[in-house]
Amino acid sequence: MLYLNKFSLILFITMISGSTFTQEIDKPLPVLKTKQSLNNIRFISSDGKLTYFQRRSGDLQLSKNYLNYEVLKRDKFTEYFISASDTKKKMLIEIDSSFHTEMNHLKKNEIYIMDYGSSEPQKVTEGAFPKLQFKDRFFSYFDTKKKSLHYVETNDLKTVFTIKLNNKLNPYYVPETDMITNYDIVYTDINSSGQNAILMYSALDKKSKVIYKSTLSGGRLDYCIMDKKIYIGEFSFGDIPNASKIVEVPIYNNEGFKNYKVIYQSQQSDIGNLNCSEDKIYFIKTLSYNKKLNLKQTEIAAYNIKTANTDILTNLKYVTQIIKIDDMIVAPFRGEYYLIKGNPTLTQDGIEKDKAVDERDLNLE
Amino acid sequence: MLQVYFLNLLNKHKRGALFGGLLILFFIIPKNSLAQNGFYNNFEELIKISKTNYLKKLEKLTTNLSELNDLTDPNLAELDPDFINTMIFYTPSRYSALVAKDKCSLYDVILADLAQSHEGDIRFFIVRYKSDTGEVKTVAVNRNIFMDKVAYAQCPSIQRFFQYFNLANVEKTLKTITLPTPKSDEECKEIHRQFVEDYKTPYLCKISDHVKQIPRLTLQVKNTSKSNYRELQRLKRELRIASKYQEILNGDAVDYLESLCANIEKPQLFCDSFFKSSFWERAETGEKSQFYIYNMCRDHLNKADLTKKQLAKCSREFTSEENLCHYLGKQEKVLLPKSNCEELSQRLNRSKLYSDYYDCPAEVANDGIINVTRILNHFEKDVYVNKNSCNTTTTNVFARFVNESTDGRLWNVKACYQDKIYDREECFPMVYGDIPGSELSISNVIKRVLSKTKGFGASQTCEFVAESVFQPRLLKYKNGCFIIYDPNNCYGTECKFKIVLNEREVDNIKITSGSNFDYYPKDFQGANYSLMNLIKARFKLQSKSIINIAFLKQVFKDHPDTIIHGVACAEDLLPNFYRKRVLNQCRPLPFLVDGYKEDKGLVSVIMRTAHDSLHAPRLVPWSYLYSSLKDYQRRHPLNQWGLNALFK
Repeated sequence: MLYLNKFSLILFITMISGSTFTQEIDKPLPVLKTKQSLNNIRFISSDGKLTYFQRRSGDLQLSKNYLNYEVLKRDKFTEYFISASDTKKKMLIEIDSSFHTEMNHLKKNEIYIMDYGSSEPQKVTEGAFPKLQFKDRFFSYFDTKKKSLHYVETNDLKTVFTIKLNNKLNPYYVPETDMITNYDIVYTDINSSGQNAILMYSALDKKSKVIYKSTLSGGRLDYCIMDKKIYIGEFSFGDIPNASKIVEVPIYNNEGFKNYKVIYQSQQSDIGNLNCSEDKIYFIKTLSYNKKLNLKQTEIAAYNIKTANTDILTNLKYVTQIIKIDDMIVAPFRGEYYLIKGNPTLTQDGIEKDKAVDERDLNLE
Repeated sequence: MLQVYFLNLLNKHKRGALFGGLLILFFIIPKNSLAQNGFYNNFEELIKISKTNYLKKLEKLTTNLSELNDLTDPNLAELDPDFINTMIFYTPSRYSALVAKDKCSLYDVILADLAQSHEGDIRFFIVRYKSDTGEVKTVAVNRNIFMDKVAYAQCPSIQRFFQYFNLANVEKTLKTITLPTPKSDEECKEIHRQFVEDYKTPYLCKISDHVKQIPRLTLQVKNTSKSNYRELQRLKRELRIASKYQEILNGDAVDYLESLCANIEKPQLFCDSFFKSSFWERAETGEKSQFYIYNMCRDHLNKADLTKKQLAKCSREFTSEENLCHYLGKQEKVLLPKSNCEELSQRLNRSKLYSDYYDCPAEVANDGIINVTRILNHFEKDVYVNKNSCNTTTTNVFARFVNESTDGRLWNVKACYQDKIYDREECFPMVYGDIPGSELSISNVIKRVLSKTKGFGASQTCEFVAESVFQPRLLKYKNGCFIIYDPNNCYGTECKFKIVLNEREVDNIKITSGSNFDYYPKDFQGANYSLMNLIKARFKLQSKSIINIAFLKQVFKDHPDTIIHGVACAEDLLPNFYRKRVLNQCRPLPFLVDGYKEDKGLVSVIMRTAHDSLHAPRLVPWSYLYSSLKDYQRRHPLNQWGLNALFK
């Protein structure tokens, strides 16, 4: 353990100028700021008290309670990708030790697991895109070569389920998956005609049922789950200019998933990337499209399922991604992380406290 | 446009000034507004009056045609302003650019029969000149007199040009003229500009006009009664000439000249004819490599081999059904869906990357190797396509290149054995597949190792077979050397296989795998071994970092054959395919750019990522490219900006 010096990380939220926002945006959007370069951070908790970051030496370190812990030591130029879930019991680390020397989306990386906030990870397997599932009792990962999803129990690290994808068309397709119970798994797949589908796998009868299938050529589905309902976005792969929609499908008491309703539609081809949180569906919406250049003007939008209103939250023009980190929803854009959803009160409280400690640390230098 | 040269002439003659001014108004004021103001009607009236006056003048002068016998200095002769005004009015406006250069270019257009009068071809010319007595005369002359005594005297070169294009010489002349196919908008506009300035162009348009008339003339010949002997002979003569021109030109040249001559004043339309024509038809007819269409067509028709008719069917359907292309060509193991057929056709029309072959990105399973090999092939332009083992089409080129350029440290796919005489490990580089004549073929390498370790005979051979094919019970597999691999687990740099020699598995050959290399240097010590520096050295290429749109446009302008390559984060580059899931996620993806499109100051690049088919480029907005490059740069140890143009 080391005392933190001036590189100690402090999360605070700064308000950026509101002059660039459109009328739809009531408040200026906060942007995530850290004392250390955000480029090095691989995970940060929403209260700013837990930060995993990597050094140029190839080490992965944890900063907690103003102390530094070594988490993993690897060769120079190693890259780490860290994920957690809302349950906050476990964390997963994917290690790409040949990030610069073997550019290969089909390679298998090392996957480690550890308790939330811990610095003692344990190697589990090799694969890609690990994700904690069902109250952190399981995690899934994708075998990029065999095209199969694997589900591992986090207590004894045994693989309990494996789903082999049908997809033979797109070797670079990465499925989405969520365990909604101990035995029920939602995942995405592509059939031999190129139709993207969302399926429910039941481990009890070892069968998959289609929840929703895209009807559009080149259609792309993604989803999020909230309050026993699955919200499915139907968008497009690549530059195929399909219209967009979001449908709501009840997961239970819905024979053959025939009962669903369209809650959002747009003639534009949205990027999507759905994230559900507190009665809202956050996604990337296309406001205009220049077909000649395949150029979309895109912003983060929030669809409120109570009011059925869609609000535009950003004015970044070309935002393309939206991700969830701990309890926060952020939009990465050209080196900045725009805070779409988080608790500003908590983080602002943290600023005062952290600043004081940080100044003391600096005096120690 | 029409007025440029003629107005210079008109300015000299006050009588024509008003008419010329009205003509300008006629062209620049919308017809609706003229009509609304009642001005249009007045203008029509004015034209009628002008025409009547001109015809009266012509009628009067043609009663006594001059032979210009009293013309002493041809340079003091000029065309009458009313005559020029009439010619302006009746000559197709597209030829105006051809006469804008000088007086001689006007005569070229007249000689090529492109200029017209109220009665079609110009029979009489009204000339003003100073006679030997010093009197200024206005006379009518026939075409021959005007050409001999005025036009040829003022511009001697036009007579030579005219002769080059007469029926006796035209074939020889046309052989000296090239009709270049542009690869970019800039190049196309430059070609168009050169044609407009070329004195030969009116004659080329004359030929094009003749060929265009063939269907009409054929019909007229058919419908003209034999009793109308003279007319029939004239039509037949014209048809013979047109047919002779058509014989000399091939179909592409006919289309080229038709597009050029129809769009003399519209360079964009001329260029669109290249970039908006169906690329699928060009590939089907052999103008472009059939690799572009073959695999997609096989998929579409579900056939292993294709006939010409089937290729033509695919070409027609790809041209008419835009959604057809999304999931075709899956045997190439690429990122799907592809773009719409129409979009692909437009991009391939502009494409410059050498793509007369196919590769299989996911079978190679190394994006860096795919990109580097595509660059190597672009500069080598000689690719052996291995249909039996697609990944070796790429790996054989890559392994040969890195082994020749370095001491073998970058290619780790090797078969090794313990040399007992020298007590050391000996290794031979190889690829996972067989390529005729390649010393890197796995069968050759394993044979070589077996000859060192097992006394394998020089006449004996090894065979690389899929485990589904290998049947140990069959007699043919009882004796000999077989390398048995799992096709579902065999990639460019990693492959699971076993060696069976005379029914026994060989276990004393050590196999190493993998190929780790720096695409861009990631530290200063290893800079010489980065693939980009090795490629630059091999082909003696120059490189330029492309940091903004202006640089991008300039490099394509200065070096039309340039290829831009780079590495960026896939999630920002192709957000509709790759999603970010965690903080600072980036999966590097190399790519090649060989063109761009521009609209209202914004730019998108024509790109093939290492996941894309060689024959299905994508259109990526500069904004996405910029974000993805910045994201990769933040992760690179030397802050490498991953976008560089390569050119000789």
